[in-house]
Amino acid sequence: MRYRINYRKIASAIYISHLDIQRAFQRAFHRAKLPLEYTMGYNPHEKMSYSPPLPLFVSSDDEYLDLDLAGDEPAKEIYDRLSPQMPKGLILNGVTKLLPTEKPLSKTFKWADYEFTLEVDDPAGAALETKGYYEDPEKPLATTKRTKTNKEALVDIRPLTCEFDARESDGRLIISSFLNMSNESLLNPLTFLKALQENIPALKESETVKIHKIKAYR
Amino acid sequence: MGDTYRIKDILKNVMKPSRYTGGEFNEETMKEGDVINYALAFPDTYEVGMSHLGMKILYHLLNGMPNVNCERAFAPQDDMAEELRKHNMPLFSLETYKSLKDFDFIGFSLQYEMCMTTVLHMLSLSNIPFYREDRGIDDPILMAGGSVTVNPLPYNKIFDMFIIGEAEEVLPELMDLYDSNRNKEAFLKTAAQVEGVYIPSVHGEEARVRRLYVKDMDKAFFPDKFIVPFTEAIFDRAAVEVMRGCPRGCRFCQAGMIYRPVRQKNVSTLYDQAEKLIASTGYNEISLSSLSTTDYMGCEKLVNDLYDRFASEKTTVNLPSLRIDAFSMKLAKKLQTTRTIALTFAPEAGSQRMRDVINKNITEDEIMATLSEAFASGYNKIKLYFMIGLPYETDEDVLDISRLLKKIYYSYKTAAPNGKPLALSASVACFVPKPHTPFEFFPQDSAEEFKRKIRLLLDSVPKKIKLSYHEPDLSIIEGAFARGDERLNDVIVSAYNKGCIFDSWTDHFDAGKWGEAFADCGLSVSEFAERRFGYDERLPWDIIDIGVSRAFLVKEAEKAGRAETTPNCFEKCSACGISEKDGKCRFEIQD
Repeated sequence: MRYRINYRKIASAIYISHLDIQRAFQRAFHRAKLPLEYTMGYNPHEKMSYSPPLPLFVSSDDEYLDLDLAGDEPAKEIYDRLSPQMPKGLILNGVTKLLPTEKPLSKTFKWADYEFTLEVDDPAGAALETKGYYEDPEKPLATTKRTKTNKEALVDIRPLTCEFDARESDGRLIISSFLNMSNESLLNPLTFLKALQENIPALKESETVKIHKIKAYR
Repeated sequence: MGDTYRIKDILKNVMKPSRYTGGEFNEETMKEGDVINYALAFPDTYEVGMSHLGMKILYHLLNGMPNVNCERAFAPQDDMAEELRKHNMPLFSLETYKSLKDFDFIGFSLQYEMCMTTVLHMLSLSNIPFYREDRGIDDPILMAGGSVTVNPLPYNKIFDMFIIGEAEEVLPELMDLYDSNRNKEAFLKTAAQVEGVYIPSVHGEEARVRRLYVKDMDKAFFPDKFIVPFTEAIFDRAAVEVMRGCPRGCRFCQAGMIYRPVRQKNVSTLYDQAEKLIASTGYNEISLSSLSTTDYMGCEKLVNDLYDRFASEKTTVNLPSLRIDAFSMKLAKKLQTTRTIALTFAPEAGSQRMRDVINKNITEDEIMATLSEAFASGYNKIKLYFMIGLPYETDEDVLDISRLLKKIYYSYKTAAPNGKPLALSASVACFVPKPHTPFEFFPQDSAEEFKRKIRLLLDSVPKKIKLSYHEPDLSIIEGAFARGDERLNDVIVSAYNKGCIFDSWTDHFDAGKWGEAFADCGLSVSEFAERRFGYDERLPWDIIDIGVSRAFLVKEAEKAGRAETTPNCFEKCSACGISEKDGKCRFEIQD
């Protein structure tokens, strides 16, 4: 039976790399004595898959992991056993059973709702300028990113974003936006922020305080 | 609590930040209230320190006390150290991000001589003066423990106190003692009366401090959980300690002398401890740890029991130290998984005469038979450890290492005609004479002599055998400290001030700076490393009574000169002196 685990990655867990998160989960599964299913082959490992990796220093309220287990236990039972075995900052939101027809995680989510907290000299002015800049389709919003083959590629972030907003809150600039999360045109939040900071004059000197993923949408 | 906002800020600029944040699974919760604050400090990186079993034992032992909070501290990597300095922040503990300066105690674990500049590095980052005389009543009490402290003199102007031997025997008592008045000076005076404690400001040169050790390993504290690091430690697995001490009595080996007598745990104790650790950590590997695990009397039963218990859960059992004999091969084959095709052995010397000099008690026939069986069972990655510069060594003995390597290499085709190509590698260490061993009296080879002998090997070992060797310039400084005295305190400070840190990492080690540091103090490396002591001379480390008698060490040194061997403790008692004080050694164990 396949289960989908929904979790938060917050507080000091933002310093844990994706690879280390995988290991942390594997150990938690062992501690919870879940009836794990293993892959065949020379190096058997747990059958699990993840939503796209979150960059270091980014927190999230809505991360996912799929796990195959032998047998068919209620999702609540899995949740109750696993929850106390999670390290600090990795917190279970819930566990659900998946129907066999369910698409894999990599094909499930289309958009992710992000919030960026920045420190700037004049947050209210910067919010206005940022919003105006984004909404003017004539203004460039492209930056370079490293591809998988370690080459530089130019990426225009406008078509990969929607629901964009910028506002002042508690003396800081808050930018919120949906970022494309589909497998083919995934937009990394750090690339998004880099594009804003390179192109919008008011953000040139900004300091990033926090990057937070609020929710993933289908 | 430290300034968490600023800590978050600097963590963005360093590699693998989770090494500095704590919060791992099984980290102890700190108690509220006015408890004693003890920082357990390891003068190396997080990955190295978190792999050390002694740290785990002491951490959970101290936190189990109602009046102590024990936190961890490691040496930050260069990028983190730079960030701390740039932001004017002190080195902080992992549990509550507290500056080391704010602790009552900082207990350093000294596992190798060359860690001392890293100790100073950690003190410097904490704004704590290096010399105990420069520290005030409000500064933490600096404690040192670990195998290096069996000769504490080279460090006695730096640390306030030393624990000689196994610290779990006395740390709780010392904590309660400190709790009774919480005054540094008064505490040091009283603590000097406690067995196993050496306090330089109280004890004179004629002191004789007796080493402490756990008498009954089955009753000794052992944690039922380990902290599970997020980032991979060097040894990232569960480990149970099957025994302390080693019955073999190799004459070069300090651990074989200073952890006497052999003390073994019962099989059932180890089985329970392994089961608890696997359940509490989620590790899928359990290591049976000791100086020579296949010598543990319950080894076969324990391996079988654990294998039967854990194989179905994909949890593997691991033997970290194998002797080159048939019994070890049998166990290795039982535990062989598709993942492990590599084996590591330590013949230590190439010639039979040399192996008799060091009392290795293994013959060339045994080596060849064991390897032949390993090859036939599919092992095709073999690593062998050797030493050069041993007492009574000749060039023929050195060249015999290449002869043995070639013989092993060419035997592979016969033993495994259809095997994959053999990957044979040999690691050659430069011998360092260590205190409290039969070789403590002997001079070390000079760096030039080591280099000449390495040349002999490089010229005679075929290229298809991978040969690596320890840095002679590093080994002689290790040698100087191992048998050094109080004059070396200043050399450490001088070396640190010249920029030496992480000296045991070859990419950081700078022989030139160390040479200058010795010279600045009017000293030379060779006057310490190449010194020969008389059998009846007073030795700098005579202030420590390790339990093994001088008469035994001299007898062993003389037997080495005649290439005569001594049987192991299990076969026949060689009257090393341990049983004179504590009664006859008992080696029987129960299932």
